Amino acid sequence: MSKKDFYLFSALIALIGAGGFLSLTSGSWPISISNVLLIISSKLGLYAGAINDVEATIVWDGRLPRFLVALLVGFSLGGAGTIMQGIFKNPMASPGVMGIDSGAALGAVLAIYSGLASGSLLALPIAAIIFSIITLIMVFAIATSRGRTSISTLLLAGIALNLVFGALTSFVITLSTREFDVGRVIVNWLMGDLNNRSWEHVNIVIPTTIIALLGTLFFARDLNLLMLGEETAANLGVNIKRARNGLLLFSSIETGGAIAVSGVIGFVGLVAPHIMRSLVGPDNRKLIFFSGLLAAVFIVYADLFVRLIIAVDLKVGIITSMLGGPFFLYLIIKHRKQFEYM
Amino acid sequence: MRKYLMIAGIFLAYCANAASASSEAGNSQKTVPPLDMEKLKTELSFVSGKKKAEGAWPRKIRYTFKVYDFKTDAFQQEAKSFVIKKKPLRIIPHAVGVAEILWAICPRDRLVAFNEYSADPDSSFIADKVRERGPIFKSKQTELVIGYQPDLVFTVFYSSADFKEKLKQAKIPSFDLGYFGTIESIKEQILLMGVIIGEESNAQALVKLIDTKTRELKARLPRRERPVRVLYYDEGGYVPGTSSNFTSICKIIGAVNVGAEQGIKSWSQIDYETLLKWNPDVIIVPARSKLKEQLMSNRVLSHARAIKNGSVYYVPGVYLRADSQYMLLSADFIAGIIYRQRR
Repeated sequence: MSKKDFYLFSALIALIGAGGFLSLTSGSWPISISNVLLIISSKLGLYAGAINDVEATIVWDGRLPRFLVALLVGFSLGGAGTIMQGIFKNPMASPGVMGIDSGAALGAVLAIYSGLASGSLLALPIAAIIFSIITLIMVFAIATSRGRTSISTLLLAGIALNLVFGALTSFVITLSTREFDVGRVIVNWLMGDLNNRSWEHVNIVIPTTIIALLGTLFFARDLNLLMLGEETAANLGVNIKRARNGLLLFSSIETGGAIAVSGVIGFVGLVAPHIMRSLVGPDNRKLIFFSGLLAAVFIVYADLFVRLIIAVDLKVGIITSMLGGPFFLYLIIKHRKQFEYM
Repeated sequence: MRKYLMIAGIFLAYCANAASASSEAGNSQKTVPPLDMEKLKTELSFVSGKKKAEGAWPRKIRYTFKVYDFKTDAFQQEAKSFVIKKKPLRIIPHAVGVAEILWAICPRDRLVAFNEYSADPDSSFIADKVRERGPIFKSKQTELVIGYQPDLVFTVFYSSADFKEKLKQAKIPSFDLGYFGTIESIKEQILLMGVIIGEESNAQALVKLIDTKTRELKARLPRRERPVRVLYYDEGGYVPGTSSNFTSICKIIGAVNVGAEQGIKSWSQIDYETLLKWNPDVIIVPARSKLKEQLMSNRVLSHARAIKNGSVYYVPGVYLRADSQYMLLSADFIAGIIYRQRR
């Protein structure tokens, strides 16, 4: 790691740390900073004195899981976006390009509409993950012929499934408008919502993030070579099929896991890799990690913004899209010549 | 591939099963309302005022049109007038509350058709009657409505602009009704509708009945040092505020809508931490959910008074959506829930 990378890494960690501190000390229930620190110390076994039970539950079971979910979702989406842009060699690619998020959204919307989601915290995330896996299998089944998977067909199949699942989701939304409450839950979820996240949600997104991170880092060198062209990569010893499928699988796990606990959060997976590429360069071994950290910063602060600065009705997904959209336009205008050669 | 499709199939079947189980759980709750629910419902479903001489037609009606603007969270009102040429004999209501009021004050042979929500037991107190009688149209089936050749369609301020415009183009007389969110505004609308359809005495009788039954209900409520603080929490974490009918229901039964108390105007989403901070005595959740179990098992909420006391109750949607004379029935039902352990 170069000195520049180290400073950047430290800055991102510091931002996440500050975001975490603000998340834990802010909320509708007033808890002093010293009490928050005592609660954390006590839970970590560093403090044996008395702590306020109610405050401890709010910090440990309410605010901390919400912060961790924001962190892990951001990290997952940033990493997945980097992989998608690398594999498709397309700066417009994002975690949703293969239809994974549309599939997950359909699964979640069905779970809400059927009433299952109100019965169990796990029902919605599990439905989202199952549907994202089904989507992945469908995209690969469509794009694979005689053992060969075409990257452009993958992209086209992803676009087509995005449209189909989008239409089915709209259909379920139409059905749900009869029941006002259910319709509202669905719309909230589709806008990306971190309200009332708990340890159960953290437990869902932790394994998907860790498995996907290790998997993608394992293939990161192959991704660097794939970006030079398949022929060159093959000449340099890369097993093209294994590397590409592995990367797509792990990025889909990351995306599915993140969407399962947060709803659809747009633009972060698109913008974070762009920014980080200009700061740390195109080496995916670093880029995946740094993009993940930056996306985590985005979501942690977007959630803080939603919670504290504006009314709680605003959703994280709206903030990320509102900030990410114009910023992405700025990047496009700034780098348009560079894009022509990608 | 087949294996995954099978898993998806099992999952969907489980969804359907869980949904029906959830619905059953919601309905299994027993309540002890202060007034006899069945009797009250029958009384509110048909009234007959003293017959008076028929008023003159055509008639010009001056009224105040009051609506709730959800964008600004504020009421808007304006003075309007409406001219109706002859006594309407083929009437179509375009909203549940309007249908319920007409069901009570208008001779039923003058009601030509009902919209789908009036036939939905989760939204309408007269759903079974409407289904028996029909015909039923979907809210956007304007052509069907025009085809019934009504001489008056009652729309409401939130009916779609397309629907209203098409009625206008077809030269079908329509009357746009305003805000229905409180028992007072409902009484105003009943009297207004009575004048429009030429059934003033029935409308006055219904308003009188509402007042009488409200007094009876209030007289049977237990005396308390401080009012019960009730919070309605839906699946999306939304809470109704001042302008909602829930506030009016709470007022009738001497309870406090915690959402309104805390400054919410229409609806607002709150998190568990805020719910804990507001600490209601009773939490009401929609029946077609498993929200009670979810709230009762949440660690953050474990310190909330309502959770500790087990005072989280399912209420069927029809009681929470009432915007007609049946709001009194909702008040009776919710009073039965929140006071039953306190009598």
